[in-house]
Amino acid sequence: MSIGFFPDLFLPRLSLILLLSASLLGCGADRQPLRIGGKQSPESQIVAEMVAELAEAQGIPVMRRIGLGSTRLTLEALKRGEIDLYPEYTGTGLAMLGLAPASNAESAMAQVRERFAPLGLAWSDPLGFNNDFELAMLRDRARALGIRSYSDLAQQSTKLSIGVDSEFRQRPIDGLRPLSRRYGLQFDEIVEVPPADRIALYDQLIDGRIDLALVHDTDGQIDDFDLLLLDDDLGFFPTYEAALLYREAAVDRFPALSGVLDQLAETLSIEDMRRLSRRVTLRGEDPSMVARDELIRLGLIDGTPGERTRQALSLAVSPSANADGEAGKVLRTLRRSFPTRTVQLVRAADPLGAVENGTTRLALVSAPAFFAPGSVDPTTGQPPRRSGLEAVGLVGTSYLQAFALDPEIKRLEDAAFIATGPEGSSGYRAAQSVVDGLQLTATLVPVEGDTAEALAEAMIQSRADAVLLMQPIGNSTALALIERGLALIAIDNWNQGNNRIVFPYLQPARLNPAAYAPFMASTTATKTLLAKLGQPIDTLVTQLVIAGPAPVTDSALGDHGPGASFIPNALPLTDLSVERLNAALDQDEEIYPILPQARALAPRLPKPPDPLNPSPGASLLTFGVVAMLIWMVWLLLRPAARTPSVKQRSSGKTE
Amino acid sequence: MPAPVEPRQIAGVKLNRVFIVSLILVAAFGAWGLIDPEGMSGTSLGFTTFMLTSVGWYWLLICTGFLILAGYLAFGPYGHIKLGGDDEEPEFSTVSWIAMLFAGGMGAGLIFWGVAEPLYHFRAPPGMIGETADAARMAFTLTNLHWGLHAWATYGVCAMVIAYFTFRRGKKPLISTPIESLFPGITGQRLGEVANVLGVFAVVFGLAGSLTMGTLQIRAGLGELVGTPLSFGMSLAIMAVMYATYMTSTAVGVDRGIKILSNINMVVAVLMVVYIAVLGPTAFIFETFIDSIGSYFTQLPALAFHLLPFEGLQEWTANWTLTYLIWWLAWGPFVGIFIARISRGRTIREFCAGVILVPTLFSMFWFAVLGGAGVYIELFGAGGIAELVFQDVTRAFFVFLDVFPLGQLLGFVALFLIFIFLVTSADSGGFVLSMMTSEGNLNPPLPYKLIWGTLVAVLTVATLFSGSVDVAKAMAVTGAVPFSVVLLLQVVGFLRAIRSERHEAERSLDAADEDAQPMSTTNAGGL
Repeated sequence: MSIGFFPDLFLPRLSLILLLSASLLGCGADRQPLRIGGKQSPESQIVAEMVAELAEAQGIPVMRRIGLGSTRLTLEALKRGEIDLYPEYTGTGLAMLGLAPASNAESAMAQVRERFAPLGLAWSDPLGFNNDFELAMLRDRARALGIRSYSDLAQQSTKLSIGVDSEFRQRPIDGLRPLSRRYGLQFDEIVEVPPADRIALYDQLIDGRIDLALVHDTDGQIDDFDLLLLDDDLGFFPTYEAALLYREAAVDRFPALSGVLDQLAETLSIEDMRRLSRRVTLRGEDPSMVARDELIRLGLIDGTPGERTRQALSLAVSPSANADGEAGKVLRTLRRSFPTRTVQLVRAADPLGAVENGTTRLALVSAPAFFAPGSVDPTTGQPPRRSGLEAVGLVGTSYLQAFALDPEIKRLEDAAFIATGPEGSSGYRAAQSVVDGLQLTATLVPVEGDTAEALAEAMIQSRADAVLLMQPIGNSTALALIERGLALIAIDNWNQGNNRIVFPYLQPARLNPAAYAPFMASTTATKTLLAKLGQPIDTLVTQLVIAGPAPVTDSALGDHGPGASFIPNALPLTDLSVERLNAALDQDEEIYPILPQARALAPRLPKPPDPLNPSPGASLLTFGVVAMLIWMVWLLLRPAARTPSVKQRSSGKTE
Repeated sequence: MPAPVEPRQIAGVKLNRVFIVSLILVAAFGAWGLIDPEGMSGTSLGFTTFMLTSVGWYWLLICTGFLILAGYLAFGPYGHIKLGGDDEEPEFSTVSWIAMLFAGGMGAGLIFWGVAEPLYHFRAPPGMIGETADAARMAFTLTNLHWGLHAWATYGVCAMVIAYFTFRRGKKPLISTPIESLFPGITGQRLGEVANVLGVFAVVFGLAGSLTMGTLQIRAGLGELVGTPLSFGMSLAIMAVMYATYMTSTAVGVDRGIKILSNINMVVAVLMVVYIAVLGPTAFIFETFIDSIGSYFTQLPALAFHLLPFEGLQEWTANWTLTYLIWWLAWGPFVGIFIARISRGRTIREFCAGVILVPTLFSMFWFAVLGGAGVYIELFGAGGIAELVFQDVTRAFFVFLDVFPLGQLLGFVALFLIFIFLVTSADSGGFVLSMMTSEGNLNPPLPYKLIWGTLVAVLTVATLFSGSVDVAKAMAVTGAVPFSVVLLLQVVGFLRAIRSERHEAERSLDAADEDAQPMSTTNAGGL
C-alpha cells in the first residue's frame, strides 16, 4: 500500500481542469451577458429588476447595472453599448433628442421609434402606465390662494416656493426653466433635492416649507396626502409613456429577449406602479424583491412572494409597526447604511427575542423591550435587563398611548382589564411597568395579531376596558384605534413614589393629538376625529431604538482555531456600521444611559493612567515562566552524564 | 529500580497506570462539564484567559522558537539524519503522506474560516483603517501567520521528538520517551507518566471539543442548505453518522481507512479550490497568492514577534494570534504522534519540508483562492459578504459559494469536506490515544480504539447536550497550557539525544575510521 493515489488521480484531474477551462473559453469570450440598466428612480429600478428577473427565468445571463444615474448618463451608456436595455418614457426620449414633445401618446411612440431607429435603438410596446410630471399642492393652500392651474401660478409665483429634484431642474426641454419660461413663472425660492431623495419633497410640502412640489404621477403619496395636482392648461408637459428602450443588437444576441419584452407589454397599470413604488420609497423595501413579488403575482414566474434571501439583512419589528411610517423609515436608512445588503422586514411578537435567537440581525423596539418587568433586580432595584443585546441607533420617540374602549373610563386607574400587544412585546413590557408603577389592580390581556389592523380589531374584541400601546406617533395600530373614534386617556400621576427611578425608561411627557394629523388623510372625517381627541394629555414616552446583538466578552480566547468552526452568538455590528447607521439616522439626542449601547456610541473617556503594575499575579506568573525557561536551557546545556556512576549520582540527587 | 509489575489484562486491554489514571481524570473532568457546564467552562476559560493575557509573550516566543528550531534542524548539521534506520524507505508515498498529515492537522476550521478570516481582517484590521488596499494585504499576511509556518512548525516539532526516538532509537512512541531520556531513573518514569496522562487528557478533550463544534457547524450548514431543524436530535444524528464512519475507518487501520479518507479529502479540497479559482477571478487569485507569499515571508521576522504592546491591542493579539497558537499546541500531542507514526523513513530535512513548508504553501493557496475571491467581490464586485461575516460566518460562507455556478452543490461539497476532516481527526485521535495507553504499540489492538473512540463520542454527545459551545472551547484548549511545558521538556530531551548521536558518531569515527558507519558521512558533512 505504499503506492499513493497520485498516478491514478492525476490524469483525470488534469483532464477535468482542461475540460473546464475549454468550456469556459468557449462560452465566455463572445457572449456578454445581457446588461440591464436603470435610472435611480424607484419606478425605473422596479421595472428594470422585473426585466432582469424574467430574462434570468428564460435562461439569459444578466448583469444588473440598475440605479446607474441620471437620464442623460443612462441614455449615453445605452448609446455606447455599456448597457443593452433600460426603462424609459416616450416624452423623455423625445426631450433627450431635443425634439418638441408630443402630448399625444400614439404619435409620441411612433415619433420616438422613428427617431431612435437610426441609433440602433428600439422601443418595446408600452408597459401600460404613464409617469407624467405634475405640480402638486396642499388642497387647503391652493384653495386659499385660488390656484387651480399653472396659469394661475403665474400671478403669484413670486410669493411661492417650489421643490424639485436636481435632474428636473437641469432638463433643457421639459425642465424647470423651460416650464417657467412657458408660463412666465418666477418663484421666490427653489428647493432642490437629489433625485434619490425626491420623497423628502412630500415631507417639506406637508410641513409647509414649500408651496409646490414637482412630483411624478406614479408616486403613491399623491393619494395618501390627497394632494391637488394643478392643471397644465397650456399642455407644456408631453405624455411620458413607459416602455423599454433597448439596443436592437441585444435581441440578435438573445432572441429570447423579445419574448420577455412581450410578456411585460401592458402589464402594469398606473395603480400597480403606485403600489410598487410606494413599497420602495415609503417602506424601504428592496426593488428586486418588489419586482419579484409582482412577477409572481402576475403569474409570470413561480415562487412564493416575500421569500427571504439568505443574504438579506433582516429587521424585526412588532406586528403593529407601521411599514409606511417608522419601520419604513428605518428600513430606508438601513438600505442606505448597508448598500451591499438586501434589507428585509420581519414581523415578530417579541422583536428583541428574534435578535436574541439569531433569526434576525436587528430589531426596531422601544426601550422597555430591554427590560423584564414583573420582577426586580436586587442590585439596581429596577426590572432586570435582558442580556446579550445593545442599542445601535436612536430612531425617535415612542408614546404610551392609552385608549378607553369603554367610554365610561376616564382614567387608567378605572380599568379592570387592559389590552396590550403580545407577551414579550415592548408594549406589553411597558404596560406591565405602568401597572406595577401605578399599583393598578387591572389585569393585562395580551393580544396577538399579525397585522396592525388585526391587532387593533383583536384589542377591541378582547373585551378589555382600555388599550395600552407603546409606539411612536403614526403607528398603524394606534391610527386604526383613533379611526374607530376611541378616546385617548391620560396617565398623569407617574411621578408618585419612585417610579422615575425604578422605571427610568419611562419618562412623563405631553401628547398633543394634533401630532397625529400628518399621518392621516386630511379629510373632514379625520378632522372631526382629531378634534374629538381634544386637548393635549399627559402620558409617558420612551425612546424608539434599533437594537442588535451585544458582544460576548467573557474570555480572551477567540472564536477561531483549526477545530473552532462554530460561533454560537451573532457578532455585534462593527463600529463602522454603527457610525454609518447613526449618520444616516441623523438624531441629535443620545440614547438613554440605562440602555446598553454599541461601543461606537459610548463616550470615549480619556484613559486614566494605568498603575505601574496592573497585575501582580501576572508578574508572578511571568517570573515562573522565565524561571522555567532558564531551567530548560540549563537542562539542555548541562554536561552530559558520561559515566554510569555519575548517572547514578545525579538520579539519586533528583529523587 | 523496582521491576515493573505486569498489569492485568481484560479483553486484550492492559490495565496499566496511564490508562486507568487518564480514564478517571477524563471521566471526572467530563462529569464536571456535564453537571456544571458554566462553572467548568468559566474556570477553564478563565485559566486560559489568564495565561493568554499575562504571559502572551511566552506563547508567541515558544511557537516562534519551534519555527526557528525546525529551520535549524532542516538546514543545520542534523538535516541528513533519518527518522528510521539509515537505509529505511518511507512507509507511505509522498502524496499520501502529505494528504494524511494535512487532513490530520487541519480541521474543519480551515473550510469554515477560508473566506471569513481574510474578509474579517480586511474589514477590521488591527490598528488600521479597514476596506483599503493595505487592509487587504494585511488580511492575507495575518491569515497566513495564523495558519502557516507557526502552526506546522509546532506540529512538526511535536512529531519529530516522537519520531526520532521511535524510529531512530527504537524506543516507544510515547510522549514520555524524550522526557525519560532527560531524567534517568524513577524521576523520569514518574514525570513521563504524568506527561502521558496529560497528553491523553489534552487529546481526548481536544477531540471532543472539536467534534462538538464540528457537529454544530454541520448542523448549521445543513440548516442553511436544506433547512433541517437546529435541534439536539439533529446533532445526535450527525454525531451517530460520524461515529459510525470513524469507527469503521479506525477498525480497518491507518494504512487503509485514514489513508483513503485523507486522499479523498485532499482530492475534493483541491477540486474545490481549483473550481473556485477557475470560475472566479483567476488572475486576481493568483496575483493574491504571489503577493501574499511575498508579504508573508518578508514580514515573517517581525510578525513572529508581533504582540502590539504599543498599540494597546493585546486583546486583539490574544483573541486571534494567541488563540490560534494555543489551538496548535492543544492539538500538538495527537497530531504530533500521528504525524510521527506516518513519517517513518524520512530524513529530518525531508520531514521539515513535508510537514512545515508544503502544508503552509497549500494553506496559503487555499486562503488566496477563497479569501482572494471574497476580497475581489468586496473590492470590485457586488460586495456584501464581508458585512455578512460579521453577522453569521456560516451563512457568509454559503452565500459566498452561491456566487459561483452550482453554488448549492459546492455547499454540499464543503459540508462533506468538513465531515471528512472531522472523521480523520477523530480517527487519528483515537489511534493516538490507543497508542499512548497501550504502552506505545504502533498498531494498537482494536479494543483500545473502540474504548477511546466511544469515550470521545460520549463526551461529544454530552457536550452537545449541555448545549454550551464555551464548554467545547474550554475542553479543546485547556490541555495546551500544561502540555507546553511537556513539549519543551521533550524538545530538550530530543536535542540532547541528537547531539549525543553526533558525539557518538564522532567517537566511533575516531575509533575505527576504516569501516565508517553510515551515520558518519552525515556528520562529516555537518562538520
